[in-house]
Amino acid sequence: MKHYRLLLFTALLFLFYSFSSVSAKIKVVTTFSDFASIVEAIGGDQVEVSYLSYGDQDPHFVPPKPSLALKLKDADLLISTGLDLEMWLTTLQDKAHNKKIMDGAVGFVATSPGIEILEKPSAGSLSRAEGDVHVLGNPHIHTSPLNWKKISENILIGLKRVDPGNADFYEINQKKFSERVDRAMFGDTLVDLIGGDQLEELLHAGTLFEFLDNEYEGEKLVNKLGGWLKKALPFRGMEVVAYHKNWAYFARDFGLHIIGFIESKPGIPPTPKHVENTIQLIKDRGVDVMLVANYFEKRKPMTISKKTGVKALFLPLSVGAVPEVSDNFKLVDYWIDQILQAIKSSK
Amino acid sequence: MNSRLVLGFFIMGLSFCVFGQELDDKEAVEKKDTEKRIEALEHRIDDLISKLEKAEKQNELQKLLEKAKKSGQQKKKNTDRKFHSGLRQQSALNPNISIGGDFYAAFGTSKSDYNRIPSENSWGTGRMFLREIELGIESALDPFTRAKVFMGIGEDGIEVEEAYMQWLNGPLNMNLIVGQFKTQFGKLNRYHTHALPQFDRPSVLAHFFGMESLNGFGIGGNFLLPSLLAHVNELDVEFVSGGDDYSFTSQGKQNFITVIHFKNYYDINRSTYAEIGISGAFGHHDENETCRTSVGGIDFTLKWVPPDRAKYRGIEWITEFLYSNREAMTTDPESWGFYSSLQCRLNASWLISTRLDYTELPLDPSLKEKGIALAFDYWQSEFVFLRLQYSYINRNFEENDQRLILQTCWAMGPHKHEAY
Repeated sequence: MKHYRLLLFTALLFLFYSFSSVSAKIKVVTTFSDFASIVEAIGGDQVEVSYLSYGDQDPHFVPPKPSLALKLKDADLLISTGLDLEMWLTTLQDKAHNKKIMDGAVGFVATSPGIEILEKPSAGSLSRAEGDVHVLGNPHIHTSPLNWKKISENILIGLKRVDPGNADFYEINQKKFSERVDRAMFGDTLVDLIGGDQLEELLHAGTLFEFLDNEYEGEKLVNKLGGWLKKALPFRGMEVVAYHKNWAYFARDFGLHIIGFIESKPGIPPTPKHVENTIQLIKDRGVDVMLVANYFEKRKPMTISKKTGVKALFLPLSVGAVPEVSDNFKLVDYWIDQILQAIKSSK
Repeated sequence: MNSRLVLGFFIMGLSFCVFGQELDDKEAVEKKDTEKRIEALEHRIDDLISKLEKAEKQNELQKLLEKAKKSGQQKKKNTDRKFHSGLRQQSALNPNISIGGDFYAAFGTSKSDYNRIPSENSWGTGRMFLREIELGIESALDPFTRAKVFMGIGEDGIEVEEAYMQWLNGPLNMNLIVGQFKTQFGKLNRYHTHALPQFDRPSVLAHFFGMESLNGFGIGGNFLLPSLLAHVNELDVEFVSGGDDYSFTSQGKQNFITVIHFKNYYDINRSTYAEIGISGAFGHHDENETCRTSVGGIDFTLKWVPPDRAKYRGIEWITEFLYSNREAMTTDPESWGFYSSLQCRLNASWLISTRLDYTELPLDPSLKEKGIALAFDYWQSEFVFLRLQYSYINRNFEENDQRLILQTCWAMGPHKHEAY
């Protein structure tokens, strides 16, 4: 009898321990897989991360299904862009029965504060006549690797708020993550010499390459450039067309000039006349590459490609959209490799 | 003497040798010292040179960093700044306001007034109509409550379609709604007319609850239940004072209707979900409120939308069965009806849908209506669509009708249909 009691007690203790260890993890739900990838880097094994939109899904249109609301029900932290991209999120928040993750609450994080938002419509251009405009500016912030640093800082604030006991752990990881971004972007030598934040400031001011013309130790600083920026030098300054305004931040960082869009206006399906105009533009300007997020239809880009010879690149916009892209760093690797290959094949 | 001389020379020679040896040793030591000192000096010089070089490098780096700082700030300095006060810009606190328009032209083969003239039974045919201008106003009231108001402006005047406030995140996983609202009976009853998959409400809903659906003023709770039977279980319980003069009277003193809806939601795979719901509505159908009406319903939805092609492909199949029992002095009339709607998205702009209808009229189940509809929708953008619909309606109590309807709907402002 005593043995049974002991066994029961042990089993109960084990159960209690299992439950307490499960609940010890911070439950984080992000709107997109890209944010989830950053949360994993900062939160490590202290967090349990899931996301609402599939990587290959159009981030503008995610059906607010009850199962997604259920994901939010037990979340400690909800991480979203905080701009008007996830218009479907409010319905889910309202259905989730979770006070913690409502706007302004302790478990709600917007990742965009601190990021320089591009394409903010002026009072004159804020009209549906301009298509499905984003009132708060271009929300596709994750396409700039340097924006990930600010995104990670905002996520860090959220994690520290809901789990102050592990604040130091999160802070160390966030610093490591930011440094990894800088080194991946500019290479080790320049980051050691100038510092990542300074280089970022120069890049966003549009004066980085002017600055890299300076000499140091008898050679131009540009020779010390490494990382993605060096890898992407072959297409810096190149003119491209895109399907939608997904790539504004990527184009800014890597010096691409997007001279036209397949959509006649954001969110408006392309008309035959607009497609004709785009074909003419590509021919006139000798454009080699077209960037298309892979959730868009392929028929019109392929038609344009056949008529002009432009290489249509159907790229994953988010982590998980293709099997080989399992985190943000692999996503940018993938984008750059694909563009470089397209340039090579066009020559 | 000679030997003395020899000895003297020998001693002298020896002393020279010894002295000379001593001299050589001293020189060697001095030389070594000198070499050491030179070596030390050379080290010092090397050190100094390397320090100097380092200092020069640091100086160069410092200059570079200063340059970088200046260069980075260059653009920021060029911005002209104008200063504005926000005191007169409080309009940002205005609620979200949306206006939607729903116009149509309908042509029918029937010449009977029942079909031709707009009434509680028909949207009318033979001309162009303004079905509705919908004014939608939404806002948070305070940190705990939000409100929505939808006013319908039609040819007959202005009507409050919905006007309610919601308390979210209440106890027992409850969201509370208070005000005038469309009840949560079945699948399509909550839909505003412009958001329906076809131009009109299915016959069974129109004849059981009226063309504007079962609504009323009251209170309702939405409960998220523990997932037992499905991936998500939801329960809605609503008490409204209303009546549609079809199944429920609006002429009584209280006109209380109780509506219950139990929803079971299943994620089948990443592209497909199914939903099965059971509904009940209970009230009275006579002025004295002594004769009860009970309406039961089962709704089934299957939706397929591949996430990576959601803008271009999708199929939605909705079916509802309704049963009505009305208490009467002699026999209780029992009636039933159903509809089945199938909508397919062909590409970003085009949708095609069809619907089968059958219903008995709750007041007299011997009166029956059958119908079929086929609709083509063209979405010019998210905010404007055109629809061409053909409908055939067969009745055993009125003239049959074939209708061709051309509808256009538009929306300005932020309001969007929140269906999934």
